[in-house]
Amino acid sequence: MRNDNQRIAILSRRLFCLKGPSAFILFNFLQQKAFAYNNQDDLRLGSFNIANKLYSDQFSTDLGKILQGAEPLADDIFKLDISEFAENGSIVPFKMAVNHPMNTIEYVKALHLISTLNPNAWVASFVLTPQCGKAEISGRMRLAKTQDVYALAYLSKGQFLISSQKVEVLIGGCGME
Amino acid sequence: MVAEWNKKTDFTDTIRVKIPDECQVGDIIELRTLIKHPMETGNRKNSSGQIIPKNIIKYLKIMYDKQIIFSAEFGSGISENPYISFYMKVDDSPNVLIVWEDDRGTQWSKEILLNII
Repeated sequence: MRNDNQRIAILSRRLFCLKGPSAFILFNFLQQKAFAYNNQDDLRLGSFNIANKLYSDQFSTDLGKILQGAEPLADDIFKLDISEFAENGSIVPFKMAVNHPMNTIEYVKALHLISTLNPNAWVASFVLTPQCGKAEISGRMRLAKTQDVYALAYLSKGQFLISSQKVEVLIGGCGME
Repeated sequence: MVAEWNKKTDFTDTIRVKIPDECQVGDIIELRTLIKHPMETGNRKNSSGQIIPKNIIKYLKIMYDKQIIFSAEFGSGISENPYISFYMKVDDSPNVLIVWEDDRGTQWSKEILLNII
């Protein structure tokens, strides 16, 4: 017969064989989870993939302020229209258009424009009403360097739409030296 | 609301507005507006190396028939001489008031009349 000491030794060896690998697997799994979360960097953009793109910290904070936890949707009805190449970064024409009805029941409430690599990421916000008739705005913006520009549309039903465009800038337009 | 704005409003020719020559009730018209303004970002330096203070246009408000129908808030990422084009639906009233405001609270406004036929 085995004595108590032997039994404990066998048990602990058995426990080690069982628990060791499972703990190792669990640890790895958790680490991977944590790493994947860090990669996304709080940018919960739903169907829109932003993982492999360059953006400043300010961009993610400004985007977070606008979205406040909502997940934007990439849809054909919303388009940010900027030419792909801009010779002069100080005057870059943009156009945001949402093909959406504008009546008192459903309308586009707001449009936002954010740059990814400008010194100040947030560019402009527009508040619309049903009296606008058509959700289409154009203007001119500054771009410091080659980067992606994002536009967000907030619909009256509480849904965000997102659209983006990469712009190559030859001469930066923010006067930074 | 109009009276409040008029108190500190500086009527000058810095604002340019373009509207269709004539319109009908129910039309959706494009309205383009521009203001002459340097839009200093606060990042630039002058020749002696001092930072030029930030001076930007912060708000644009459009009032139609005494109600705000369109408003915008700008950061320093908007080009100098800010230009915005947008659409509005024409009702019975011909009065449109365009108000630009900078980050120090100075306001410039222009009142235009639509030619409704």
